[in-house]
Amino acid sequence: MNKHEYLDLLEDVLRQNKVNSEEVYEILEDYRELYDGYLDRGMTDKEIKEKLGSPYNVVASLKGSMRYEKRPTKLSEKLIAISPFVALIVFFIFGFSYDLWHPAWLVFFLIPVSAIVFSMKENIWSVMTALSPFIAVSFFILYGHYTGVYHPTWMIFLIILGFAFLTMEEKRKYLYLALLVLASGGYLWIGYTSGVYGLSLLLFLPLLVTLIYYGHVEIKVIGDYRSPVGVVAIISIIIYVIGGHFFDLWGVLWLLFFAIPVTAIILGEKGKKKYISIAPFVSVTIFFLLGYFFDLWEFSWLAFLLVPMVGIFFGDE
Amino acid sequence: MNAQFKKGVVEMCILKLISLRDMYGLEVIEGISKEIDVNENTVYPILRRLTVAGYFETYKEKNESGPDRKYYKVTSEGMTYLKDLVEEYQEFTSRVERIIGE
Repeated sequence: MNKHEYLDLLEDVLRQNKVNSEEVYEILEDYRELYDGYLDRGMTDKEIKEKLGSPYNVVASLKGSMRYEKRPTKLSEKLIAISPFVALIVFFIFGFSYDLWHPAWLVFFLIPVSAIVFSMKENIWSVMTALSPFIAVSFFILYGHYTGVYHPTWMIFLIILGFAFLTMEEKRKYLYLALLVLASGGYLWIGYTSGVYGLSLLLFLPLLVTLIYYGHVEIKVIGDYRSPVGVVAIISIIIYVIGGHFFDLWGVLWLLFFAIPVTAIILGEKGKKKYISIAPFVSVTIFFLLGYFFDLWEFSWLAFLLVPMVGIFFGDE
Repeated sequence: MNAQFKKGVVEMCILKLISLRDMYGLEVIEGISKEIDVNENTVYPILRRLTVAGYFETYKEKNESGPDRKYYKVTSEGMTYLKDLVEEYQEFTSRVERIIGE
């Protein structure tokens, strides 16, 4: 690496780190002069690079002493930032004025929903896939709460799968979607006409077999963290259906489905970040259990404070 | 030695060296590193910061063996700042000396 290559790379690294343009110019000028000074003293390019350190090391050691570009905050970022306050205000209004702590807590979904809507740059189906868990939980809770019909309302969670199919690149996605719609329709029709839901779950078998056949559901146990997630998903569904069917716990056992993303986070994320990612699920679980079993909705919202607390405790800076 | 404390001391040494005569960057590094273990990535940020603060002014001078060199010159504000730093440092070290000398 000669002087020009060294300085070009240094400039690139400085710009990648969003260092102020004036500061970039001054740093480059200083290092150009320094490089020339060492060349004057008879040092080779290799020796100079060893003495100065790589451009990456230079920028790393200059961190904290440089001025950075100031970027105006976008409206979308401001909206994301105020969403927790809006959610809390709405939650308190419904809670204190109408004693609707439950299901008004759903308004906290505004926080992740606004982040997804305003920050995701992917196509519409990817955005809808990210939004679908919140849409499904909201519908499930609202409809279940006001009608008492949690089963088969839980089927709304299948929209997550439906939107996930639509994000696929391959043409077979329409086949998967058709099988999902047919199975769901058939399951509901048999259930409503005969009152027996159990065996009609077999209608989802063609979809499952097709997904396995085309390699979308991997039957592997060792060496791939997606497999434990799949196992947790299947166990969650089994417990949910059994608990709901025999003990009428449709209204609370849906929390089991949090085990799926939580398992994926525990196995997939490294370091302390996983605690921050898990915190919202833990908060909702504590909040919902205290409210559902002890009717403590007006106090259990405090569980949501766990989210910023964990963020502060385990966050980087 | 504590990194922050060392930076403060290096800053004072840089000011002192340049107050004796105008110097370019590499000269400053070589002058300091004779006594204290410092590198370019410590000295240059201090030179830039003190220039922005108005304690140094810079000018270019022809260099016969290569490109022009940027020289640093201590301003009157820089001289006042250096005087304050030296007094603070001497006061501090004499107190420390009293403690560890006992």
